[in-house]
Amino acid sequence: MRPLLRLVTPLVWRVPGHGARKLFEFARAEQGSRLDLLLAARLTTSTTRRAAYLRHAADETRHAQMFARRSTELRTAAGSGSYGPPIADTEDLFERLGELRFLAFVHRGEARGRAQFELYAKHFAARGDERTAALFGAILVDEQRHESYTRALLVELAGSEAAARRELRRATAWAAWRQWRRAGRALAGLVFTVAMSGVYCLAAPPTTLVAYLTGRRAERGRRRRWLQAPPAER
Amino acid sequence: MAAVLGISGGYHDAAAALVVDGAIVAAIQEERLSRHKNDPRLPFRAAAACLAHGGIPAAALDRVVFYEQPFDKLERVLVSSLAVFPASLRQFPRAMGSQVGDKLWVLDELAERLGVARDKVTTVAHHRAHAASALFPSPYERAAVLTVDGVGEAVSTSLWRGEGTALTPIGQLEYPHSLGLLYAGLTAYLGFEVNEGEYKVMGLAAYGTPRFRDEFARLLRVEPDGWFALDASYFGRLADAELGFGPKLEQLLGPRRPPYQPWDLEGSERDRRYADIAATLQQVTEEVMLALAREAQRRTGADALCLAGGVALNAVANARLLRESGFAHVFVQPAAGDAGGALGAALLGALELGDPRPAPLASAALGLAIDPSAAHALATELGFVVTRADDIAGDTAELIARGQIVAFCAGRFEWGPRALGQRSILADARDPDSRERLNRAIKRREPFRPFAPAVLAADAAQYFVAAPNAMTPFMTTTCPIRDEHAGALAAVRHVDGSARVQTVTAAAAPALHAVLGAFAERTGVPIVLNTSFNGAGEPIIASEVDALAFFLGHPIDALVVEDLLITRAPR
Amino acid sequence: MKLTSRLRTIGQLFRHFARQGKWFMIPLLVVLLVTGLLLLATGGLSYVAPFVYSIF
Repeated sequence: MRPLLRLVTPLVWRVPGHGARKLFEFARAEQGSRLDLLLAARLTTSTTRRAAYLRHAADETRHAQMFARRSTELRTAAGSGSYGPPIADTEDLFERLGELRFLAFVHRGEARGRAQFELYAKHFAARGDERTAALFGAILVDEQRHESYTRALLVELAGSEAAARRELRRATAWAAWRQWRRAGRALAGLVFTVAMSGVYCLAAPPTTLVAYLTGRRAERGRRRRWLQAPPAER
Repeated sequence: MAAVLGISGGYHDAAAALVVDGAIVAAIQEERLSRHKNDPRLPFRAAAACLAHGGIPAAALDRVVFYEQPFDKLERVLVSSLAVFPASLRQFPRAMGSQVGDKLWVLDELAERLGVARDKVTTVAHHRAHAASALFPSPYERAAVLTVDGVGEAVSTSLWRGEGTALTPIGQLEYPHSLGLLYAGLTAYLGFEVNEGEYKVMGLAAYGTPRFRDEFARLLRVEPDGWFALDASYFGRLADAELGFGPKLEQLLGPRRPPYQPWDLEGSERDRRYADIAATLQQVTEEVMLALAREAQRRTGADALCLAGGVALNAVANARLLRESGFAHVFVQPAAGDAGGALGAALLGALELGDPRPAPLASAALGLAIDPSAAHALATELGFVVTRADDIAGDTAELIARGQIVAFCAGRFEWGPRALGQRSILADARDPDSRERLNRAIKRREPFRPFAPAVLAADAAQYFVAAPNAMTPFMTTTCPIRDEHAGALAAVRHVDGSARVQTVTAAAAPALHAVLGAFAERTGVPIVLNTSFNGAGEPIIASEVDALAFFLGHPIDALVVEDLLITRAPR
Repeated sequence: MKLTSRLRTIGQLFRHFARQGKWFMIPLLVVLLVTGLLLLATGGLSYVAPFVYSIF
């Protein structure tokens, strides 16, 4: 992933307007992570872990706001409107994976995020964009903390280094499987859309015609149906 | 002697409600538990929570009732989509995918995931569920029932005669002629989010003058007997469900307002124009509701009117109905929108199985209780200072009187979109600085949105006109503030001099009642500012975990959980 | 079993429209359901976005 990232980064961020979009998507990623952490805080049985997840979620809230704000700044500077508040769904990761694998998954995500953000911070510093570099720099500090506490918790919960590494491998496998399923769904969705468009082009014109021809009669029927009940005796 | 679970969901405002032996045991909106605002997915968390609260295993349920008939809905979506060739081409695959991939199988999915026999899962008509949610929890044996929303299967507006346990339909209007869709379309036009922003439009309306009546006359035609017709061509012939309006509307009213732009009603001519459009919309909506209500009076001769459906959340219109419709009483239950459909569905199921009507709804506290000992442990772990107070009402009142903003959690969380003292943020209603601070740092709302007051029911008439009434315990109406107190209640007064007031009795919200009493003792005023306990864009707080997450991230001064006072450690 | 319950729902769907005399809808429904099989097999259109820090 790293060499690809290094290759792609300078190109991706130079596309006009794409930077603001990416920052907004990052804000949404933070929001999604936040929701999953809030649910994890609710479901975990340990008060210590609950507090840790809540602190983590509070960080994600702040990050989402920071990314969204920077995205809005860039959009406004370019003369466009803001993308609005970053809204995300939860994937119910804690319920799906169980606490152990959830921790592994989160740790993996934080580690990858940190690596990406390190690169981005350098990239923007080199480009002279101090604000965006500072943004990534600030978030980086938190990501490093998240990366280390999740690792520590993972080892503690798994019982050993080896068990922790096994969970990490399984989390990586699960993420890959998820990508595979998503691709499958996207493809199925595409095929379905094409098929439905075909159905539409066949069935819609006659339906529209019939609707148009019976329109007047339908209107009278509606009026009649409203009046059909006689007023009550007082 | 039946246990019935009602379910709403799939579109927005998913909820579950449990009725046992005719009594409402629990009613919970899914968003409160999933922490995803307006969560549309089927409410399995809420369902599990209701069952757990009631101590009923899923296998012991006699019925699971869904608030809508999927086949009728599919038919309407299919036919109306095909009849708008070629405008609906883009939307058709999405709509069909949603129906065939998901919505059509809702009853099977409910049976499988809840662990209930498939033949125990039934449906009711959408508007009948709304009507049931309006009538049966009301205190009236006999009433007219009016349900007005966007659209159910195919009906948008319906009129019923309610008597005891019987609901008789006496008139209906169908899609696309829908007051809810009119309001939603204009909400989108004004740059707000549909199903979210309607009450923002209602607040904005008071800042404008309704000078677009001629234009609106082209959008909607009303007859004196309440029948109305929408010109769907202005709403893109409803071809694009997400947008809600078409280019013809922009030709009529001018360009739409881009979303997410900050509002400046003082400095911007264009924003004032949009406010005028909002004002016109509100006036037209009120007049249609009045015509419908008067027709309901004429046909039923009843004293009381019960309202439900999304448009019944329009508190300003409700106030006008009480004043002018000719009904002596108007009742709107707290979750008048689609969430209420779950309650209505459950009640219909219970009545069908022979159970009696529930007792009149006394309190909206139908959710899960908060856990003070868990809160204590977590707050301590997070480094906050926790004290157990002997007189928590007095302490809370003291903090509020000193200008502090206090997040307040007591008992079971509320059913419906309003916070009624179970999960509220409280502040001094007399202090405009509190309102400033609340809006800027915590709620981050548009400047034209007012905050609402809570007042002791016994003293309400002294401060507000027409209070208390059947709607005020649930904050589903507005009341004008009496002139002599207008200045004092600056933080909760809307620009038109009214407030969406909550009248508090000890039976409905005992903890808040105690705080108001203590506050009155200290300051002479039995009123506090009551806004919902949640951050911008998130659902109202449910558990102590959510409450502490909020406390971590927002600059409120104190958090009260039952008799615990939680504050930040001094630096 | 999951499949039998879905099949029963399909039966109820057709009967619903047949009872109302709307026979013309049935072929359309058949087409919808057959193409819909594809969606059902992969878990439906209602899925959640991945919310990752995408590279592109």
